[in-house]
Amino acid sequence: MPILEVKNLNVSFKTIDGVVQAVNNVSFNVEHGEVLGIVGESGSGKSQSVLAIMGLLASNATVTGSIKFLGQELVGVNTKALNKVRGNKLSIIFQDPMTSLNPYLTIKSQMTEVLMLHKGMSKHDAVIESIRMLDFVGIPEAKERIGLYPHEFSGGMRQRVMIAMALLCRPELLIADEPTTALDVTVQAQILKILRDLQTEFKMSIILITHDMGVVANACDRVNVMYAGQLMESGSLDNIFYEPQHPYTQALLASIPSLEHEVERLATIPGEPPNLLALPDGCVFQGRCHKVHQECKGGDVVVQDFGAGRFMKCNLMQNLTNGINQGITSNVVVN
Amino acid sequence: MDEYRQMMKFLIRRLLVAIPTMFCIVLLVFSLVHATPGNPFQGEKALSPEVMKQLLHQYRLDLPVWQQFYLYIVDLLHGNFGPSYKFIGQSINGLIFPDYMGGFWVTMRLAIYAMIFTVPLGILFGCYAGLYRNTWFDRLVVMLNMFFSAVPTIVTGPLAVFLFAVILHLLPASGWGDGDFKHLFLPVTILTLAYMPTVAFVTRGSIIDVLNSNFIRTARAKGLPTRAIIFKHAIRPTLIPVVSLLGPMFAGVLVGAIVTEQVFALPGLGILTTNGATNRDYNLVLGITIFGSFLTIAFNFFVDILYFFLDPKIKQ
Ligand SMILES: Nc1ncnc2c1ncn2[C@@H]1O[C@H](COP(=O)(O)OP(=O)(O)OP(=O)(O)O)[C@@H](O)[C@H]1O
Ligand SMILES: [Mg+2]
Repeated sequence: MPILEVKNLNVSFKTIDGVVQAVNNVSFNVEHGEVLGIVGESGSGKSQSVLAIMGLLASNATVTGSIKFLGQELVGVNTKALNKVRGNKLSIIFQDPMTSLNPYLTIKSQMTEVLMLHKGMSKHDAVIESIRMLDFVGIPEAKERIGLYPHEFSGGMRQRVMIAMALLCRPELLIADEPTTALDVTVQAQILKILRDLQTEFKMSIILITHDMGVVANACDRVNVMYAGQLMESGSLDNIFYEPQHPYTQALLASIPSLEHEVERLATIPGEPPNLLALPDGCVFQGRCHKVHQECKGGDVVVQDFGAGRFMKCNLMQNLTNGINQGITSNVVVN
Repeated sequence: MDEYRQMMKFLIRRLLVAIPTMFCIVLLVFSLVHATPGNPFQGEKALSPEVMKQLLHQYRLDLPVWQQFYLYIVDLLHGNFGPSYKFIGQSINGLIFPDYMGGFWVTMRLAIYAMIFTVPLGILFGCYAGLYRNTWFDRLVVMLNMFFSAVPTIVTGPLAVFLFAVILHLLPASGWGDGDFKHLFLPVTILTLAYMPTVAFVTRGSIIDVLNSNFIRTARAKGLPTRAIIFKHAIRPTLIPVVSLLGPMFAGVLVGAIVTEQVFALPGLGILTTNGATNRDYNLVLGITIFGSFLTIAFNFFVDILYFFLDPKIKQ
């Protein structure tokens, strides 16, 4: 059984300008022990879909669909029931380590409260366990530094603290929403390494949100590609990297800077994502797709299931089973 | 130990600012008062030149101004506001801090009673309004704040007297009585109503900001119950802007108390100040102003100390 099953998830926000459709009919699973990457441009609904899982959406949000975590439905459940799960078997770390810790409380106080709440530990045991976890994520002199306030740590160190805090109760699923975006490059690499090490150590599943295809290539087993609130393509890391089917995925990959030949200009995708207040009929990517044709401009978009958890939402027919399609040349073995 | 040393350093730094500030205030007020034309003894009755000269000499007013200032500062450092020019034989200290219920004792009581209601109730209502945004209670807090910011005590006071004393005969219209509930109820209420909505409004805005902050999102993500989120994570940052409001507000309440005293004919600093100003009792005006400034600075100092404990970032 998958750890997490998301079915037909919709998130919309009521605003004075109208209803913002931030996440649109998204379905995906997270299996035990896997790292699922979610990529997509800014505003594509990556954060809102995981905030929906955590029950942390803004108060003007409406959620429909189903989110099952370890078999338990999370949509529409009350805060009390949700609080049994979050911070315990389900954890999240955020993009901005500078503001995500409470500046008025010591690290000790912020960490131990999690263990005392979910594990019923005594303060004394909770402190010992917290120090162990801080050691684990590579905070030097954790024993002394646990008594410090967040502002006494650097950005990278704070993100380590966030990770340690999220892992205190050994979660089954850790959500990392752009955990390295706010950090500088060398620190980014360290944080990613910690996440990978922890994942093998604790055998947990991770959802890793990122803009950075390089991060995906380094860390993920499977990838979801999102655009304008929709899941455009999903598949294994190799599927997505070597045989991208969706024109949007292909365009995203083309925008990765390559290390070998120093690129001056990133190949960006021309055009703007659609307005979430007024989505177009048909495919949401039609305005920027270079393979767009008439049937993309209205009606439902075809969801093509290639099996083995690989699918895409695109009218462009790809016949993977017979290996005859223009996008891929060889080595396609499906089923 | 380290904390203690940081604290001392912080306090000394603040004191080093407070002392010159106080000096400047004294200098300014002294100059203003002494720049008014004429002297305290030029009243309706013209005095003979000899008597005038005698009086000026007796009160040191015939010395050069800088010398008067020097002597005044020396007196101040001894805690002495000098003699009154009008209440012959009385000292300003005796007028501000009389042996009976009057002067500062009345004003202070009024201000303290008002603060006792203003601060906790303001914080409570503000938190409640912020937590239950857009409910009728929240709207009421916002509206009351607008109303009482726009309508000063000089208007609400007489209105309240008119309603409760003249029409309904529920409460006495004026006077201190023996400081009993009936006599103090209206002035304290008026004063509280003037300031509490501001405290509530600032608290409301503050808690709304705090609850939208990233670290509260983290606290929720940890599965903490709402109670713990508010009392452990949100209350301290919520109170910081409120605390910084309290310094100036206390000064405001003191001044407000002086106005309110006039409305309710209470024998506090208000009456003394008006008397001092109309009678050219230089030292009385000087004394009350300087004492008021001193209280304001002292209170701000106290608030800084509170701040020190609330915000760990200041400790650096
Ligand atoms: N409270 C809200 N009210 C209205 N719209 C919102 C609200 N919260 C988010 N949105 C909108 O939802 C859309 C999706 O936002 P989301 O945060 O999921 O993007 P993202 O994919 O995480 O982008 P980024 O990479 O920049 O983090 C955005 O267009 C955003 O403006
Ligand atoms: Mg995001």
